[in-house]
Amino acid sequence: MHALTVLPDGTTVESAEDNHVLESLRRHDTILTSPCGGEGTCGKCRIQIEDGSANAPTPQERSLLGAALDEGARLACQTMLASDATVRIPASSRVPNVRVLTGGAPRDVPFFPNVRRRTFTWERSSREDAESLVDVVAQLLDARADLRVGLAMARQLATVLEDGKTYEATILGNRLVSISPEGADEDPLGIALDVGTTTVVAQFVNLKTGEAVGTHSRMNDQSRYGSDVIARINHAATEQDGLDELREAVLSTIKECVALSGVDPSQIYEGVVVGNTTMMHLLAGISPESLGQLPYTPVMRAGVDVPAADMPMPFNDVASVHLVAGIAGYVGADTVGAMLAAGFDEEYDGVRLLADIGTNCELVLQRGSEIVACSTPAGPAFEGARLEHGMLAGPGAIERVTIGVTCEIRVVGRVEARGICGSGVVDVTAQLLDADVIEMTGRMVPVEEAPESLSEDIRGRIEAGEYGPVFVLARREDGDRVLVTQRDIRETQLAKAAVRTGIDTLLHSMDIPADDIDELLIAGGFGSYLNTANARRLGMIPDIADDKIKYIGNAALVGARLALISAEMRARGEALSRRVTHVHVARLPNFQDRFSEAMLFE
Amino acid sequence: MARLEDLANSIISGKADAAVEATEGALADGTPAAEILTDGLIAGMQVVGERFKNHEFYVPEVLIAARAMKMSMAKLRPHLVEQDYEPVGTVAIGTVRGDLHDIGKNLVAMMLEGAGFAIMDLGIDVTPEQFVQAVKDGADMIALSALLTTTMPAMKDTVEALDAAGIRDQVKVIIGGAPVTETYANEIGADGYGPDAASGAELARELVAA
Repeated sequence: MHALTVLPDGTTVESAEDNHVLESLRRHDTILTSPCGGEGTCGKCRIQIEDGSANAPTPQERSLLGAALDEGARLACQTMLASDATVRIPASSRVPNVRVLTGGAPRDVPFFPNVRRRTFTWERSSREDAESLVDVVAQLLDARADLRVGLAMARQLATVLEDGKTYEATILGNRLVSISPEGADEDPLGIALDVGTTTVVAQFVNLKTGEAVGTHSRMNDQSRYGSDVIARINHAATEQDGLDELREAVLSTIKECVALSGVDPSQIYEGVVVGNTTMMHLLAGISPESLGQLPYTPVMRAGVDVPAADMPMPFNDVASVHLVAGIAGYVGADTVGAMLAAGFDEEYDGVRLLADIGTNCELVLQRGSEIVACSTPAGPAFEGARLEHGMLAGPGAIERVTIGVTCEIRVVGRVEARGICGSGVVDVTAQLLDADVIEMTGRMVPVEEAPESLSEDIRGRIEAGEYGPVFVLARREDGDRVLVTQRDIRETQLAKAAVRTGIDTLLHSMDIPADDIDELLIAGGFGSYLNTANARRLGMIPDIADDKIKYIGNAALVGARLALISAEMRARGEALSRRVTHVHVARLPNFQDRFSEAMLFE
Repeated sequence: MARLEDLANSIISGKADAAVEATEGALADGTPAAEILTDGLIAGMQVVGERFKNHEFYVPEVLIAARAMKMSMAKLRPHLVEQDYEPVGTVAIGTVRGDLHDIGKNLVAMMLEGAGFAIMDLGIDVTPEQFVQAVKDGADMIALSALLTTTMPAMKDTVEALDAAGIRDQVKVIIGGAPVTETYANEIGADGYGPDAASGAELARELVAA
């Protein structure tokens, strides 16, 4: 092991004797540009050795660097250190970073999408001692030595190129996929897709700049076959053509997202998809039957690349689709995406917890470089489903409730209340607990048992319902009311107990006390509006101070975008998916006791 | 009997210490064990079951009550054995193959125990063969739980396995769980379906009385 000091940064990293400097630097997050993939053919990863010794230059370096070799120039992909060394990295050799807003801290990631557009000028003279036209083009493009040119491209090369003209080539992975006169085509786009059980979100990204140019979402058309993953699995497993129907439904939803964007499909060269494991299976046309039964083993969890035309997805004919790797049957590619967005691919100095809260709640705990993950069935309460007047956090949803002398509500869109969403139900439960209208067991007291201290207004809101008391949150002009019922409280109890049992199980598995959590990252739809004091009151999350809690929004989608614009991030996602230890919460002994106890409001 | 009423109330409110104390007191008074069971423990659990059915009680309350019942039962059991008490029946209960959800199944087991049944808890992911074996081991009723539509077919497989083993007529089969319906019970030839834990226990009692 040698010490490698990097200039101009001044940092020192370790470099193993049999590792190329390119790889050693990459391990320490210094990414050099290497379009040839470390083959020593493009000359882009040039470095300057200022001090120390290394292996003898390779033939590739001799031809690419020539006399500069004598002045210490080397290619990082060919260099192995023979002693401690100091190396200067010119700015031109570094992959430019692109800043991505993640909802939490923005991430600077090396900008190196799988789709690259390069300009080259065709000169007859450059053909003179070349083996083939393809070799010439590859060289002009600084492309990888293994650049593949299909028959269609070869036909174009034979006839299209004119001397002295400038062309734009589009390279997808190691394939040359198009050549057109400079300026003829729009910038290539990529699409980051978060395929959720309920909603599909598509984000369009300019692959020349890394910027997001638009986001569109649609209800997943699979919903007609049932609202949860179990219903979908069942449909796929038991109905004739069920799998095809589900696959076509989600593909048509993606098509609608593209249509909504107004983007010309031929502009899209790559899609990167995250989603829960069931959604990934259905999209890939793989039967998810094994996910409906113990031990919930997925058919496939590694990332795969598929031609878009085979899916089929409505992109450019030559486009490719990357399905991000998942972790387990109920910890999917969406969790890998969220982990990338939150930076779990890097070591963390402390303890942090990521909670992606939806119908299924995924939890990831990291200490140093150690990571454990689990999922827990929170049920649909936090998404407003299955509550008497539940709804998603759209216009008309009560999202905040404060109960004192009166009951104050805040409604999304400042319109008349129509229903209540997840954050609202957390608030009202916590506030009614504090007002002693809900007991520790979750029982709502009828008005005659309500504490004397309640104001007239609050007392007047407790009414008898079909199953126990109800609490009236709002009276509408049309005479309808928005209620929270005893049953809603029970659903909330289940949901909060599931989340908490999952958190406690992960902490327990790494023997970490809840007090040691330095950071709690909450992802998912309702995260951004959750009142943390009330979530703590319910016991849904441990006692973690507000300044340690961050909302990171739709982190899964951000992760998909990172994998779209950065080959490095894509590789890290794949590595992460294999590195995480999955804890099967429900199969642990005492799960039932812990879960039941967590239902109480202490 | 004020003491048995106290016992029932202690069970309902989940006060284990008070329940044990009332059980010991009743035994000391010379109350027959079967009477303590029927008018104390079973009476108490019956109220718990009703309240659960009416959504007044929820999982935590039932568990606390069941804990009190179990602690009292531990005191009572030697006396029941001594006094040749016969349980109303023996139920083998389990969550079917492929399914690991056991909270609902455990609630039903508690209610059945609270209704005077002896319980053979087979746990989760129980194969049809294991249920068949339980019947051979003396169960006169089996109770199947499934929480997923994807694991429900294992209920049908279990009934078929009983048929194949030629012991279907020796045993009553009751089924339950979120996706399960009365129609499904009829379709697969079960003897009954309980929409909730308390109804399941009632159904079991009706079936053994019939």
